[in-house]
This record gives sequence, C-alpha cells and structure tokens, in this order.
Amino acid sequence: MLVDSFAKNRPAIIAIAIVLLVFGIVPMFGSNYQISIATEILIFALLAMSIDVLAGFAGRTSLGHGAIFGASTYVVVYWTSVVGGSPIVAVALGILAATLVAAVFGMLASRVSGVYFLLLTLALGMIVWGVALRWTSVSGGENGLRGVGRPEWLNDPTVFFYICLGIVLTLSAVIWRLVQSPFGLTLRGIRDSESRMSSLGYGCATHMFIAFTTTGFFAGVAGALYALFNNFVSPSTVQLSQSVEGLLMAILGGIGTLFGAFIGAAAIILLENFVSQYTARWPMVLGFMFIATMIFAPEGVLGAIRRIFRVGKKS
Amino acid sequence: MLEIKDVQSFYGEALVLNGVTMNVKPGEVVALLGRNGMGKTTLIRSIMCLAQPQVRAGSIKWNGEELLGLKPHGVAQRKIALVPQGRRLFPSLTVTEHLTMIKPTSVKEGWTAEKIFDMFPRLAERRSHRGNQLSGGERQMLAVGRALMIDPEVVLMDEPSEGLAPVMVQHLETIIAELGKTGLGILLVEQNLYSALAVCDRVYVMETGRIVHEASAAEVRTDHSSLMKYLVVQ
Repeated sequence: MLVDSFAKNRPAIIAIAIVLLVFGIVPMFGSNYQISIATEILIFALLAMSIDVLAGFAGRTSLGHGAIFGASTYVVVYWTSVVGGSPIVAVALGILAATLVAAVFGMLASRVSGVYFLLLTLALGMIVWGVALRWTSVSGGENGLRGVGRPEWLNDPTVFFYICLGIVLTLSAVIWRLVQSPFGLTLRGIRDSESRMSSLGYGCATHMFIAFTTTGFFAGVAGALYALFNNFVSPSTVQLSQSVEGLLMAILGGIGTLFGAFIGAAAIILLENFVSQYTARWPMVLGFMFIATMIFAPEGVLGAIRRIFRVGKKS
Repeated sequence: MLEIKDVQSFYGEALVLNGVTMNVKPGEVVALLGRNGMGKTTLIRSIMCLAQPQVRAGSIKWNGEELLGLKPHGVAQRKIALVPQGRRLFPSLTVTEHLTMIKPTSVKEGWTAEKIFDMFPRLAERRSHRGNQLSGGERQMLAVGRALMIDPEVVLMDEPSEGLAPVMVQHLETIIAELGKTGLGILLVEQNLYSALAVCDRVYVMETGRIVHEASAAEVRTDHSSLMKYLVVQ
C-alpha cells in the first residue's frame, strides 16, 4: 500500500524534494537580496501553478488569474494599512476575496472554452484593473497603497522565506493531489472532449466552475504572500501583464507539468532581476529565451527533461 | 423502459429522422439495423440530447420521464450510457484513469474497475497504457467498460463491431449477450446483420430516417430474406 502510494506520487515527491533542497539552502549562502529573489520566485511559482491547473489539465488558458492574485494583494494591504487590522486576518480576507472574485469569474467563464475563455478572462481581468485604477478612494488609484510592513516576527527575510517555502510546498502537494484525484481526471477528460464527458454524466460547466474557484484560491494565497513580501500594491499588480507573466512561467517550465512552474518562475524572475542590471532591454532577452524554448522544447523545460529521460530509459 | 415516439430530428433544415417510434425494454438487447446514412447515429444522438441534431417533434421517455430538453449529462445521470461510434476515448488518460475517473477505487458498489478488468483481462494487462496506445479491440473494450462504470440500466452502443477483427467481434458478442442476461437493456446500432443477430432479442430496421421493419430475432434468424432488401446496396 505504502509502496503503491509512493510509486503513484513519486514525481511529486522528487519534485518537492528538489525544490526543498535547492531553495532550502539559499538562506545559508545567499544575501538578503538573494533571499528576497528566492521568495519572489516561490510566490510566483504558486501563481503559475494555479494557472497551469487550468491551462495544462483543463485546457483553459486564463488571462484573469493576475487580477485574482492582485485582488488578494489589494485586500491584504488595505486591511493592514487603511483599516489597521491584523495581518493574519488580512491574509485570510485577501484569500477569501480572491476566491470570491474567482467564483464570479468562474461562473461566467465556465460555460465557454478556447479563444472565448481566453477573451472572457482577459475582459474580467481588465474590469478588476479598471476598478483598481478608478476607485481611488479605496485603491489609491495610480499611486496605489503602501502597507505598514510585515509584523515583527515576520520581518526577518529568512523567516519569511521559510514560511513562504513551507506554504508553497504544502500547496504544491495539495495541487498535485487535486490533479491526480478523480476530479483532476475529469478536468483532463474535459480538456480532451467536453461532449464525451457530458455523455458520461458530467456537468462540465460545474466542474470548470469548481476548478476556476479552486485555482483562484491558490492564486489568492500567492497574492496574499506577495502583499506581505512587497508591502505595496498598485494597478500594475492586477493588470494583464501579471496574468501573462504567470502564464509564461507555466509555459516555460512546461504546461501540464505543474512543478515546471518553479523553473519558469525562476527563469523569468532571475532574468528580470539580474539581466536588467546589465541592459535595459532585458524583455528582449526574455523574448529570445521564450522563442528558443518554443522551438527547441515546446513542451517546456520540465517537459523536455521528462522526454530526455523517457528516451534514455527506452534506449 | 426507453420509449421513442414519432421523433423528428433535424440537422439545420434537413430532416434526418422522420417519425421514429421504437422501444427498449429492461434486459432486452434490441438491434437497430440500417445502411450508412439512414439515421441510426442521429437517433442515438437524439436520445442522448447532444447539441446536434435538433429534435423538433415527438418524445423520448425513460421510465415515463421525458428526456428531451435535458442536457447530455442529465441523460447519463438517469443511467443511460453511450458507447459512441469510433470508441472516442480520452487520449491523455490511461485505461485505469478512464475507469477510476468515473468511480474511485474506494467505491465497491455496482461496476468497479476490478470487475471491468475481470470481464476484459486484456485491459488489465494494459491498465497503464493511454487511450491512444491501445488497439482497436482494446479501445472498444475500454469504451464498453467506461460506459458500464456509470452503472447504467440501458446502454446505447453505436456500431461497436466497426473495424474490429472477427475474433474480437465474437468476443464482443459474448460480452453483449452476458450483459443482456444481467438485466441491462441494450440498444445495439449495427450494420452487420449477423453480428447483431448473434446477440439480440428484437430487430428494427431503419431506412431514410424511418423504422421500416420490426421483427423478433427468432423470426429473422429463420428467414432474413425480407430484411436483405433494406440492408444490401442494390
């Protein structure tokens, strides 16, 4: 039984062990700056994983998850800085708000697929961005909102990093179980053929609604962590580029691989932070890297690694 | 009982089913025969309330309840299962996943993955293969197994013997006959008269969207010359 369970979850166990090993040693050797980069990678890996569940397993590419992520960030910063409430309550409210936004998005988007799903989630994300920009009395408009900083016990970057690592790895395991469960299989079935799933008795719209709301919860957790990490929120946190960046991370790491999100997030955030020190044209470098990946490893970095291992095993 | 009465189905403005009336009783294997393009699959799609065709007249009742107007998943939830033409498996799911997706291994009532594997030992050997890695016969077995996992009371099988080797067709006939004996109603759409006669209790023949002949299988087995004019291309 235990052996069976290990064999079934082996990819996840190996991936989580690698992430733990690679990220776990960062505070031992890295500066505070490098620890903060690693923290950012973890947070965005969680966002990318939430997008990957929909794009890779359910075949629905969302351009609205950046807005869901940002909604959580807004609520956390607003609750701590404007209301003056506790950060723990703020995080809970942020995640709740993101899940509710995702539920509203999901209610509308679960009935469509393909390019219509893409456009609808894009439009819904734009609405959130518009609200953040125009509702200046609450959101601070273009100036955004500045937080009051993390509570004292979280102020140390190493402590905050390890808390983020613990949360992200735990949720990674939860997401893995979700996509391996019968519910996850139905998502893959819907991706393959909605009408076939319908003929088997599945209300595809209901399943997509649950999937969208659940992934919104994960994006909300990432957004809440980002609020504590960044201590600032502005309309750029909810704009389209946030969703696109999360999607690029998932694609670069390997769509449908789940743990590829860590590779994608690391590649993009490291490029943003290190290449930008040498050239202002770092987005061009990112673009070239993305093109090269699509040509040489269209299944993403983790997908390519898996392919190489498979070929190695066969030969 | 599945009762179909005066059903008229359309693809756009084209009338495909023109007043079809038939029924399938519990535990009965009913064959629906006809040449290509006569409307057999259209009838199956109409029963499942799939988006196309559009049923504009008549009624399709299951145990007295009207099915028309339901969503396809609503029909399936009423224990009406479909084995579609061409198997239509999920290419990314393994054999086991096809079955456990519908009913987790923890559920022991009704049809389970293990019972399906007992019925089709070949599938058990291929349990970790994906849908697109199976042979035609194995795909058909899995399509039947997948349909059984919803614990149906009636199964609609759309040309299950299509493209299969004779030995596989024989195996399938045995399985259909065994399923019929368990009390399951089966509507078997076939072009192959001999394959249908091997298992069915009653026969309907469809031509240009109408039922043109109904007979018991025993009658047809004695003399099927009257059927041949509908089934042979002149």
